[in-house]
Amino acid sequence: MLGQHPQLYGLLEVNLLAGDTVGGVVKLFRRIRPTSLNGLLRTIAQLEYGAQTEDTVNAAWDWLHPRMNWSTRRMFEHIAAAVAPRRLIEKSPLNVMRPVFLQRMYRYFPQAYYLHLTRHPRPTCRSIQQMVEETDAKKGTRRAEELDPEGLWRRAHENILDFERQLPPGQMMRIRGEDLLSDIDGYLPQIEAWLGIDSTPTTLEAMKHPECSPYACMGPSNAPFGSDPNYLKQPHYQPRPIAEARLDGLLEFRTPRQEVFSEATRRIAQQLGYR
Amino acid sequence: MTALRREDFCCVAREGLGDPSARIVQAMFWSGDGLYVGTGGRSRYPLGLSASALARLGPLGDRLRQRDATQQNRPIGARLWRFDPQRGDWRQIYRAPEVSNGQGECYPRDRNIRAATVFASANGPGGLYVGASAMEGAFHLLRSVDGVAFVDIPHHNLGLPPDADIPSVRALCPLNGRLYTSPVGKLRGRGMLDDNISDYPIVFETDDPEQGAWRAVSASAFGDPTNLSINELVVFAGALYAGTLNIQHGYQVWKTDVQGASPYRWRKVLERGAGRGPAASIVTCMAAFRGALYIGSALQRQGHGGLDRYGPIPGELVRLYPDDTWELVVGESRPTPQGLKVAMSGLGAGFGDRFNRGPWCLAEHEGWLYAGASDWRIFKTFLPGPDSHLSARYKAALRDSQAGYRGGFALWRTADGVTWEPVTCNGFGDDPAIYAVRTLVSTPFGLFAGTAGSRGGFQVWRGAAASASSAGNGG
Repeated sequence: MLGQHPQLYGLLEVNLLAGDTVGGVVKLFRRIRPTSLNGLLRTIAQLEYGAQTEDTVNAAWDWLHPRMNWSTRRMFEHIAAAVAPRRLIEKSPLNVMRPVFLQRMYRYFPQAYYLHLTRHPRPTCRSIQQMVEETDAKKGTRRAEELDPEGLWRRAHENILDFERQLPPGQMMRIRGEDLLSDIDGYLPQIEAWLGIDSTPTTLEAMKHPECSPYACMGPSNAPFGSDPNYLKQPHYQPRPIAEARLDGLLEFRTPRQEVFSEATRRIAQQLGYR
Repeated sequence: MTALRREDFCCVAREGLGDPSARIVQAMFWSGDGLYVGTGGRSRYPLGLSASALARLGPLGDRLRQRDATQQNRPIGARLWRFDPQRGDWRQIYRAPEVSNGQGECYPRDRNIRAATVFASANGPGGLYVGASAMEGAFHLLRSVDGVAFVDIPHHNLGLPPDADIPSVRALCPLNGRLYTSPVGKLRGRGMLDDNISDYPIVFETDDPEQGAWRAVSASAFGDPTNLSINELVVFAGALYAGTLNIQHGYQVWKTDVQGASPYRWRKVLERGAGRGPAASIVTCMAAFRGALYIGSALQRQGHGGLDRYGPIPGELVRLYPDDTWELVVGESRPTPQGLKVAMSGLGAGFGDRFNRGPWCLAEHEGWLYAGASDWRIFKTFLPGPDSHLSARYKAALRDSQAGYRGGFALWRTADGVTWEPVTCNGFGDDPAIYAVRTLVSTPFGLFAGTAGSRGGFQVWRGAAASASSAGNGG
C-alpha cells in the first residue's frame, strides 16, 4: 500500500540486508533458498530494463555479475537513485529475523523511518504454516513438520523491540495491522504525516491500489516470487472484517493440537496489545 | 513566574520524621497556614499476606510471623503530620489508634493515609477530610474542623454490603458542594494485599459526608470489567474525570458533568492507554494546567504486570482538552484513532530516560507545572534472566545501569506544557534509598515534594525562590 504513494517506491523483498556485499547475499541464497533472490532480480529487471520477463531477469543476472563486489549499501543507493525522488519502502521480512540485519539497515540508513507493523500471532502462525504446507505439497518436501511459526513470530518482534531502544523518539512507529486495515482512511494519512509526505485524497486513493505496482503479479518463470505469493496472486486491496483472535487456546495449526502459545510469546503479544 | 531550580530546594523532613518504616508520603495537602503530610507503613502481616493466607502456609506462615516479631517489624500505622513553614516545625496531629483482635494482639487500626482534601458541604461545618486505609476491614474517613483534631465520621461502607472489601480510598475529590471517591485496594481475594485493584471500581458521591450518605454515581467499572479500579479523580473545566487501571488494554479516562440524576452520564475520553496499550496500564496522576488536563501513566505494579521482561517500560504524559481532544506530551509517537500523536516535547517515554517509570505526581506552582517521577531501578524485575532474548549489548547496559544506580528520582518543570526541563535527575543527590516523588503540593511558602523510598523513611523537600526561602528550612 505505502509503496503506491506517489512519493514512495515499494520494493519487492530484495533481502539485501542479509549480507555486506551483493556477492555474499547471492552466494548465501543460491545455497539455502534461491527464490529469495527473486525480488532483487525482478527489481533490477524492472529498473534497468523496464520489464520483468524471462529475458530481462536473465539480463539482470548478467547485470549483477560484474557488481558482485558491490556493497549492499551501494546496491541500495543505486536502486534509490533509479527511483528518485521517490523514497524507498523496504519491507523484506528477513530484515527483522536477525539483529545484525537490523543493525546493518540502521548503519546504511541512519535517518530511515521504521514502521513496526504487527499482527496477532495466531493468524500469523496459521498463515506461515499453511504457506509452507502448500509448498510441501507441491514440492514433495516436509518442511512444515519442523516449522516453528511461533518462534519466527516471537523472534521477529523480540528483535524489533530490542532494536527500537536505540532509536530516538519518533523514528519508529508501531501500529497493529488489524487496526490499520480496519480504518485505512484514518491511519494511512497519519503515516503520511509521520513520513512528511503529501497527504491528499489522491495519495490516499493511490495507496488503496497496490495492484498498480509493477511488482503486483507473479514474476516470470525464472523469478516468479519476490513477495508473499498470496499478494502476488491477488494484489487488490479488499476491505474485509478481521476476525478477532485470542492468545488463549490450543494452536490449531499444530499437529497434534496439544500446544498453547508459550509464556514468552504471550508476553510480547500482550505488550503489543493482543489478547 | 519564577522557575524553581535545584538549588532552590531544601529538605525539611527526612528519615520519616523519626520512623524509618514510614517510607512514602501518600497524601499531602495545604490548609490554613500548614502543610499536612499523610504517611503510613507496612501491613499487619509479613509480606502483605492476609491472616488466612498465612494460615494456609502452615509452618512457613508461623516462621514468617515469628521472624517478623523477632525483627520487631511491628506496623506503625497511619500518621498525619503538620508542618508550619514559618516556624519550621513538625507536629504529629494524628496517629492510628490501637485496636485489639480480642486475642491479646494489638495493632494500629489504620495502615496509612492515602487521600485527603479540604471540603465545605452545604450541610455541615466542612473542614479537612482524610481517608485512612485499614489494616483490617473497611477504610476510615476522618474529619477535622480546626485542622488539629481529627475524628471518625461514618461512611456506611459507601452503601455497599457490610462485608465489602474496601480497605482504602486514594482520592477524595470535591466538586460543586459534593465529595467524590472510589475504593481502591483489597485485603482479601488472592490472599495478600492488593493496593491497586478493587472489587468496587465505582465512583461514589455525597453531599453530606458527616452523615455518611454516599451513593454510587457510576456503573461498576464503567461497564467494562477490564477496568480493575478507579485510581484517580480530578476536577477539570467543571467536569469530574476518573482514571482507571486496566492491565488488559491500557488505562481509560472517563468524564461526567455531574448533571441530572445519578448515576450520571459518563463518557469515555481516553482508552487503551491513549493508544499505547497495556504498557500504559494505569493513570498515575492528573492535574490541570493552562487549559488542559495533564495525565501521567505507567505500567502498573512497577514491573509485575507481566511485561517487565521487555522493560524497563517508561511512563508517558498526555494532555486532554475540555473538548476531549488530546495530545501526546511525553512518550512514544504513534498513530491513533484520533490521529497521529507525536511527542510534542520531543521527549520519548520516561522523559527520554528508560529508567524513569513515569510521572507519579503533578502540580502547578507559580505558573510552572512540575512532574515528579519514579525510578525503575529500585525494582529489579526488568533485569534479564538466564533465558532472556535481549541482545548482549542491551543486557549489559541494563545491568550496568542497575549496578550504578545510587538512588534518586527526576523532577521536571515546564512553563508551557511542551518544553520540559529537569530540576533534578538524581533526587537532589541526597538519599540513595529515595526513588520517587510521590506527592507535590503548591503553597504560599513554596512547592513541597513528598518522596517514596525503599528504606530509611520518607523525605519532604521544599522548593522556594531565594527571596521566600529564608524561613522554615529546618527539620
